[in-house]
Amino acid sequence: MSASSSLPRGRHPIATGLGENKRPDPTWIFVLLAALVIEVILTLLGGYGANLGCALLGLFGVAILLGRFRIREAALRAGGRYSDWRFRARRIAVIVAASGWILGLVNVFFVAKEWTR
Amino acid sequence: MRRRLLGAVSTALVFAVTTLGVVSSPTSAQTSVPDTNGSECRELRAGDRIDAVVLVDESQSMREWPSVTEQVRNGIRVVIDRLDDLSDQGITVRLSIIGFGSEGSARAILPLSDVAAVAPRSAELQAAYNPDNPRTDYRAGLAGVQEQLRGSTANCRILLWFTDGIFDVGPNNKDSQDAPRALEGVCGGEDPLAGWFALNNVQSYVIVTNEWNVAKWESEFANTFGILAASLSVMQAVTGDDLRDATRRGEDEREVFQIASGASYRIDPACAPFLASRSSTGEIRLDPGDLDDIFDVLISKVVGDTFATEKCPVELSGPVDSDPMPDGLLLSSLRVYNLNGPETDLTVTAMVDGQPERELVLDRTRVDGEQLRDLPGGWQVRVEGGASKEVCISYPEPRPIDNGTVDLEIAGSSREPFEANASTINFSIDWTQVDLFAQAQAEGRDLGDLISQFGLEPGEGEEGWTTSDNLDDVSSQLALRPTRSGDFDQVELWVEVNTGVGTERVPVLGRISPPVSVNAPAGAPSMTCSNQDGQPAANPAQEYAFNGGETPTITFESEITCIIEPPDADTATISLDPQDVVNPDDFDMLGVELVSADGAPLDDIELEAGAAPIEVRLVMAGPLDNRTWKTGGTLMLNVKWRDFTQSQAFDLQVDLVKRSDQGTALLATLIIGLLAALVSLAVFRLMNSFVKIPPPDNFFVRSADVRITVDAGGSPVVQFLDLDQLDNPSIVSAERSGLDLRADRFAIHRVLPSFFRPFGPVTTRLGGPSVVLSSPAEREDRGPGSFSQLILLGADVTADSDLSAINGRVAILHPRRWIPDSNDLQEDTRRMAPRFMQTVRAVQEATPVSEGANAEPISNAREQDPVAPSGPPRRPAGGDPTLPTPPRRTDAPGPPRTPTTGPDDSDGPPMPPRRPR
Repeated sequence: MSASSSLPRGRHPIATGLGENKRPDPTWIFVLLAALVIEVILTLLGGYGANLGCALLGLFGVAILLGRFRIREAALRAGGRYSDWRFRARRIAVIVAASGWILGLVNVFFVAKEWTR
Repeated sequence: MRRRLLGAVSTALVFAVTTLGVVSSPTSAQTSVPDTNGSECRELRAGDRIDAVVLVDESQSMREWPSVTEQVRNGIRVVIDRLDDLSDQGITVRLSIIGFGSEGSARAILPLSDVAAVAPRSAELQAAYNPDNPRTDYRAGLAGVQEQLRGSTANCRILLWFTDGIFDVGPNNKDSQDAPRALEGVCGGEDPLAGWFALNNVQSYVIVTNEWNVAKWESEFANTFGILAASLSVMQAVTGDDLRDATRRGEDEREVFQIASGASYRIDPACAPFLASRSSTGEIRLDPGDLDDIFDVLISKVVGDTFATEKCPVELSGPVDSDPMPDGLLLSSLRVYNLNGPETDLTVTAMVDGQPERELVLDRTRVDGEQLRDLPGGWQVRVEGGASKEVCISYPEPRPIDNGTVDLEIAGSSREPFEANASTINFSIDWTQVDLFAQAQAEGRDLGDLISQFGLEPGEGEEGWTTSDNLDDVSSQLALRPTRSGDFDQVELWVEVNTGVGTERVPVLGRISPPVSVNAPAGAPSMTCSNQDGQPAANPAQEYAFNGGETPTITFESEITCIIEPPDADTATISLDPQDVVNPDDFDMLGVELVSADGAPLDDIELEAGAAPIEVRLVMAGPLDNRTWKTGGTLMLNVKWRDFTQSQAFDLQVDLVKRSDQGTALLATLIIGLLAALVSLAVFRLMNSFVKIPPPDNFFVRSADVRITVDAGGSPVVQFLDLDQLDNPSIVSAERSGLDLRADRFAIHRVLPSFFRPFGPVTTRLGGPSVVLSSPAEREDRGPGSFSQLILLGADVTADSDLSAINGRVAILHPRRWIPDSNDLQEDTRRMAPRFMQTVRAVQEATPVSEGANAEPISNAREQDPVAPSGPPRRPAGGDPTLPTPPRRTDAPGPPRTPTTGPDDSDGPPMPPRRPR
């Protein structure tokens, strides 16, 4: 390749240390955690409305939020400088989302109990 | 406020000195005061007393909006804080908190207690508020308030009633019977609750805690069964507040006022009289918002005009006398301040009518109250000496009184079980058993009412308390006459205790030892009952039960039969009365009725002497047509003859609240869970579709032709045919940015994770030459979904290609603002060569040889790129082409399967060894 170019040449940007590495964006993990906390509160609050809301949030809301997290994560990874946390962000997000989903399912049971009265 | 209180006491005392020559004590003497004692919630002074009850609605609607629950809890805190402030100013304040909800389910969250002692528990009491009842029974709540304030002798009695809803006790949400029940339960009957509140001048305030519900009232219930009018009428009757009085309406109350001033609303005639009879009125307030603000108004009404002492002691210029004190009342101390003269001139004298005056010993300027202990009731204290002085009289704090239990011993009886007929039984009581009197003569005490319970009634004449009302004696005689048959082992007594600053009614449980068995007197009618199966009860005294004693949880029918023999003389009356029931109306609504043997309904029956025995039946009229009942209690079939009543109790417990089916619920949960899982997978799939691969404008592509040969050792060797080709970068393009890339002869397509494995990474399918590998790589035939640099190595290989020399092409997608090093690229390509050769070999071996097969390029791509020059994909038949298979042609041995030129870096970005710079 021509040596006359003014552009930097040599190794990959990560290897050359050009620019800073991108860490995972915690925003959507926090949103997922907030959704989980809301679910816990709604479950403790009890009542048909709260159970139904918790079920919908748990079964569908967290799926959408997890998907949103993955879009953001893919965008960061595409930048080529992605550097994950020691405990992988994707794993954290999946664990939180799965917890929310299970809690939503528990609330489905509470709602179903009311339906069967 | 404290200074104002002290000032008021000072003013009052000076006024008394100048007019009467005596000084009134801050606390007027109070003895036993009946229920009808009026209270006056104004001009309260230090030493005065307030009894306040907070009545909180615990129906479920109070938690529909969390703000309402918080508003009530906040209200409890504000009340406690404000009343505690009053307590600090010398006013003795007691507080009770009553919760009410479903039929008859009032509960004392806090019995009447000293607010100063309760204040530290404010948070606990707030948390105890639990709106969990399906109904709203005003009657139960108001009866609970009445129970707390019954016998209160406080100067001021206050009710603060938090609610958001309208009366509702029936099985349905709103019933046609709700309005008459509310009106009859509060404003009707012989002794109406509203009348009691008016007669006792309970300063009552209703705080409608949620504007939303008022709008709901108006929109939903204004014309439904008249329940809105009934509820507001009840509130007005209890508070004395005439909502139609527009002059008192503020901005906050406009909505209530609008309802009340509407043409469709009028105060029910049953409740109207209680508005006119009030000497002072409370208020109905809507949505108070800041409860502190509303309590500013309420408390100012209570103590706003209160004269307060600026300080204690009180300035005096003449001799000081106390009022005659109640029996046994003790001053804690008497102290003289600001004496204008020598202490030796002071003389403090105690006086009692009929006894010589007694000079009390002064310790400098203080008199110890212990000197007054042995004085009989009615004593006074006089302080003389000094040109001017200030005197402070301290009273003892009312000490909490423990409920007690005393033994009632049958006078003249042995310890054997006592059997009696309907004649009077004499008991003796040793009051020293009760802790109430541990401090002898510390307080006055009087015998109070007896509760007519357990069938032992205080009779007339010699019956009842037979000794002096003054309990200075440690023992009393009590005569009780049984009015019912049965076994009696306890009786509830009340003792009124004068604490010096008021009267406490203290319940004392009397244990009858040994128990008394009371038989019916001779000639009385007899009653024999049988359960549903027709069998008589083994023990006539035992309780019969509907439904075989089981609490039914489904609709049921049941019946109990009794045969009543007539009396020998006179006439007996038979009646059916509910007792200890959650709601007396429930039995009517459940359809329990008294019928004759032929099924005709019976009201009160008179059974004359000499008549034939009659058979009566208690029946459930039919299966219940709803599933919301939960009630219980005892029905008493009473046969009253003369003044003796023979009773038979029938227990009826009903719990027909709809049950949930746990198994069905679990099944439904599983089905919904499966459906939800599919929907969730679809959602994930949808969200994955938004994940993009890097766009083309991130990259340039540089490419060059290569030849891959095999050296003597069997290792693949990559030769770049013309390195100058790398000096000419070309543009990377895309048909759909983020979904595909076109670079030189190569094509890259985004591949989403499978539907059932949505958490997998987004990858790329590589196309163009028939066999393509990438570095980094996601799998053997997949590139990564995201990358900052990508090296592609590809070649068109046919089934019979000579693998010893393959012509291929290599391309590198690199960031636009960076030029890759050709040495690095060559090194990276060499490291890919073994894997490439391995792939080509495996694919070729898996490809069947057929006519013309050498013209068809083989492919490692699962789906050939449609724009790739190598044509449509060909999938080797007979299995996964990536799996190695035995060599088909022994004359063309391939290179070793393990790379010899370096490690395979297919799982990460290219990291070639550093080249010399």
